[in-house]
Amino acid sequence: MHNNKYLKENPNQPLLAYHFIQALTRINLAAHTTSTKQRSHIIKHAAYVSMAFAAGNKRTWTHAVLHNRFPIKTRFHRLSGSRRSFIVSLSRNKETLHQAHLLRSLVPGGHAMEFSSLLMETANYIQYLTAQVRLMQCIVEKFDMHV
Amino acid sequence: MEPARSTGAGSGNSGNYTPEIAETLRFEEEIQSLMRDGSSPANGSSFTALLGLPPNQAVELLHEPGEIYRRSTAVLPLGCSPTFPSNAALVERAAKFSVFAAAGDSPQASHSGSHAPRPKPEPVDSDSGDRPQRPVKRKEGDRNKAKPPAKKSRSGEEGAGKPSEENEKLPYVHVRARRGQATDSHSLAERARREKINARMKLLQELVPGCSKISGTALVLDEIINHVQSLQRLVEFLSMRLAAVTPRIDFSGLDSFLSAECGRVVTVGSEMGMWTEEGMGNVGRRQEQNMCDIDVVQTETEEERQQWDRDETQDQHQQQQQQPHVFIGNPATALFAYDPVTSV
Repeated sequence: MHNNKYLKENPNQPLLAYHFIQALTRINLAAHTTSTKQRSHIIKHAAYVSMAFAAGNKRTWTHAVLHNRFPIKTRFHRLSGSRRSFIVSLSRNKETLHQAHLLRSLVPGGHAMEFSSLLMETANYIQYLTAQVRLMQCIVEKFDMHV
Repeated sequence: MEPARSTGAGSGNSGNYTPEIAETLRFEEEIQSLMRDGSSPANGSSFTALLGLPPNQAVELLHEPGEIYRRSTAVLPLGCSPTFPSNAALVERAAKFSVFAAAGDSPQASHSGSHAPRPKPEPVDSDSGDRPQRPVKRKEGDRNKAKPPAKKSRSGEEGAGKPSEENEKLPYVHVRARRGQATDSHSLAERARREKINARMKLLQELVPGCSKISGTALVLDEIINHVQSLQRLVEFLSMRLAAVTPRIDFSGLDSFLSAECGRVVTVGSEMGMWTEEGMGNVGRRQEQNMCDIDVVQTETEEERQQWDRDETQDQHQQQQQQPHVFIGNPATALFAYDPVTSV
């Protein structure tokens, strides 16, 4: 498996919408039994899951989101010996180290990747996050108008 | 998969050699001019920086130029087209060109006799085209130390020649060290890695709005982190709003419309359903009923037009009926088969 730059594809909007709406429908069925706060939590979870689903299984973060565990440790083993020493010493500054740690905590599954792949995953994650946000904004806006 | 792609690209190029040789020459000239100006993308620390690519990709560029072109069209900083000649013979010819340029240098350059014969047999070997695979990573650092440090002007051309030699070998790209830089393998590897990281940071900069003006890694990283955090907060906020709005809404018509429209798309995604753990559940069966009633969609086009005009699906309204009856049991729905009550 090559760790080069992936094709920067655009998120598949209809697929995203389809799964998210499906989830919403299902949540809607049990709307009378759940409180609003509960429901918002479920909807948030549904948003992430549909996002990860639309992105496909190739990405580390989707794997982490959907399977509720970090990617397998073999990712580290695949790296050559000389590289491994550089994983820990991410950079010279303490500040960059802190930022890298912060980024890892933000992106799901970020702790088990080295820095360059973390950056790639972040890029992909941002793409899908923006798509999801746009979708949700649209839904909310339309329903506000409708009612 | 890979041979098919390369042959495809090769068949496209195999007809005429001349324009491609001209392209190679032009590329080398541009590299030379870049080196002279001293203004290369990543401070010109290596050949791969001239390409603006990480070392792995620089090598792959020669293997499958078409693929790289498709992948990252915005990466190459030079004005030349990214279609490198993929024909092996052509690449050898390119190697010959660059070798002759460098050959004049090497006799004067190397002092130690043990290292001197090495540059010459290398290019010659690559011309023969059937070298055995060398599993050992050759440390260019030794050769660099042997030669006097005044090699800066040559690094461009030789760099152009070097990756062409790598065609039949393992994907190690030999980076020629510049004057005054450390040449041991550790720093080379670290430099390659740093370039890779810088290239990816640039990609991220383009993605995050308002980040391209900022210079400096730390600030850019701060911006990226802020952006991701704000996006996540937005998702949370919107989900709260949706939770408040949801009970009043009837989703079923929308659902069937979307499934009919996206059926094509979702069949592709159904293979992803293989790695979902849950079963189908009765929800899938409800979907069946929705999908069978396509005329239901017609009656609700009014409401749906309002809601989905953003999604440029207007033109597909009329095409719904012609669409074949979509697959029934979408295993992908199993992904969402969590009970609202139990999932929390």
